[in-house]
Amino acid sequence: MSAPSTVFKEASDLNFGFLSVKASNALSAVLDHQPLSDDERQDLHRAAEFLEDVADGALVAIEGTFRQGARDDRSMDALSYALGPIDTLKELAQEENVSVLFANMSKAVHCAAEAPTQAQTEDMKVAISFFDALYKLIVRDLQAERPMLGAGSSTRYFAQLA
Amino acid sequence: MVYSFPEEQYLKEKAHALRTGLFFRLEEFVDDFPTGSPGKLIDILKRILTAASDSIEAASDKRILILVYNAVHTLSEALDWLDNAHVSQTPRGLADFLDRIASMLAPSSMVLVAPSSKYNYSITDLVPWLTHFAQILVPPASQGSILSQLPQNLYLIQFPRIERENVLGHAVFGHEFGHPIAARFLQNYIATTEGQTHAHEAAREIAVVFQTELSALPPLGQMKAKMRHFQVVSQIHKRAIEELVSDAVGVFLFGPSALFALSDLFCQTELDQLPERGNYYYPPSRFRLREMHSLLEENGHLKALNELPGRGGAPLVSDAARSVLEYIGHLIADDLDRKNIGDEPHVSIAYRWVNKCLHAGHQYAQSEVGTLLYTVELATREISPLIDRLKMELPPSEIGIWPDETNADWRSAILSAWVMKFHQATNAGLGSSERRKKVVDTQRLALKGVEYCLLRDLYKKSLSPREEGYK
Repeated sequence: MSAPSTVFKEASDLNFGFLSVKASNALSAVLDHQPLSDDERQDLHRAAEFLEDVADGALVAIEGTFRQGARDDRSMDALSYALGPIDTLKELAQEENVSVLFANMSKAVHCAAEAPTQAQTEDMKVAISFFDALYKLIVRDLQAERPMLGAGSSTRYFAQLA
Repeated sequence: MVYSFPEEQYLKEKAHALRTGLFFRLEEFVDDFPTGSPGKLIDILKRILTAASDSIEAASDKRILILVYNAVHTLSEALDWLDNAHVSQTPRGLADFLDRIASMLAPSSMVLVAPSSKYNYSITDLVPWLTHFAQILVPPASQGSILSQLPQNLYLIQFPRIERENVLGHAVFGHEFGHPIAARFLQNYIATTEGQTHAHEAAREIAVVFQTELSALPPLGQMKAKMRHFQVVSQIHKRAIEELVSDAVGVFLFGPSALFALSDLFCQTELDQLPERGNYYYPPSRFRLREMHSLLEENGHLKALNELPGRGGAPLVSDAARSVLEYIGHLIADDLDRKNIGDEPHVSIAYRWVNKCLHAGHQYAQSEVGTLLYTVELATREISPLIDRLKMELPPSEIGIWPDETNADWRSAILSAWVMKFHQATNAGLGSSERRKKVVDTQRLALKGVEYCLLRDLYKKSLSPREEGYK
């Protein structure tokens, strides 16, 4: 029977990995008052949508309620990606409402694409930390999935036996 | 520390080396697969890899290059698929019936059949996969020209190579073709008011069931814990619906053969393992068999098999059909799986949620299968005469005697062979090696039967306009 496909998981991981790096770089450029290219603005819009999906997923998980217009099928997937960085980031641990936090980040990132001077600096900084943490976790998972040397866990198992 | 080594340039060269390495390995397949689905896959991958050159040159962040390396590693998995996609590795009958189902359920789709060394049956639509990589690796301005080359669906179909000759087991592909249908059902369901109400009820149940744990946590801790619990419950629910609705599609496409094929797979496993992260949240096998059994009972297939006439010296064969149904009935009467589900809080919340929408999932599955439904009337009409042919060591492909013979449905060829196989595999009057030989012979005859059925269908369609012309 088909286990959920590893190659699909990897494609999805890579998709969010690229998005994380591009969003982080574009937000840093906004904070440095540098102009954005059309592609960078597009990346920020996609990043804002992803953060909005996380906020929607958190709302369902915490309160069991759906925001009008939420992309239901995507929000739980987005939340599953966000859970790792949520645990590792000190900035996020200060907040009491995870859903509101991500909704605010989404607004800031969207604003950074449209009207950079009006975007909330603190929310953009938290978003940069979030995306940097997400990138690291994704690369860790990808490399664990395909170790480049040795035979992965079986090597360690036989080493223990020896 | 300052150094003069141009790291960025070196890392870009590494990315180009991986990209061109895969390009040239794909190029080696071009003569083997000039056209068809493998040719299409090769063409799209080569276009992506060529266009990725500009993205690599534009990369100004080492992290992007690390992701490019990983993307090429993942894409290179296609080399394994193409290595195994040769005709010599795939029985014609299997490729034909997979093509038939795909063209009916998803017109304009392409099928790539590649056996695997892994013991795993799967169908994966490569179009979303390729789309992801085009979006990741190709500059936005060049993406359109590549995406426009994609077919509607390109199904990669994999099965265990050691089961290549076992055409009966390949009835499992009915389930596999159910996955896209189950995914559509879930997507529609969760957007409905009813679906959202059910999710809300699950979230409330989590708050009640885990109240003691949650109340001991600070507000942020409570929120995180709720998110984790809900994530687990919704994953268990989603995976259960994906598998159970796909099982239903298998039943509607293949009738009792779907149950027999899954029972044959599951006899290699423990039946009551609870869904958990380590097993991709699969529902317990016994639970799945029970649901399939129930669907077959509802649509009359089980009654028809139980009443299979024992004619022309074939009473022992019809006895075998009754005996195996009795055995499966015994398996599903045991409710250890249900007890285990009730004992684990996440699973019990998820399965109460499953029970609220599974019936709608079954109805959706039947409507999507549409005219491909394998009906009890068809089975009742065809199984006995096809068993007679198997007893004469003939492929189970036609009913009646020339010139009044008619073509059998290829799924009846598989079902009749399942019944025959149960008789032969459990026949105490035969020695062990003789039993095995007879079972293998039946599988070969069934494969021939499927091939003949599909070929005759094809000839009939192609020749009938000419015959009309001569009248």
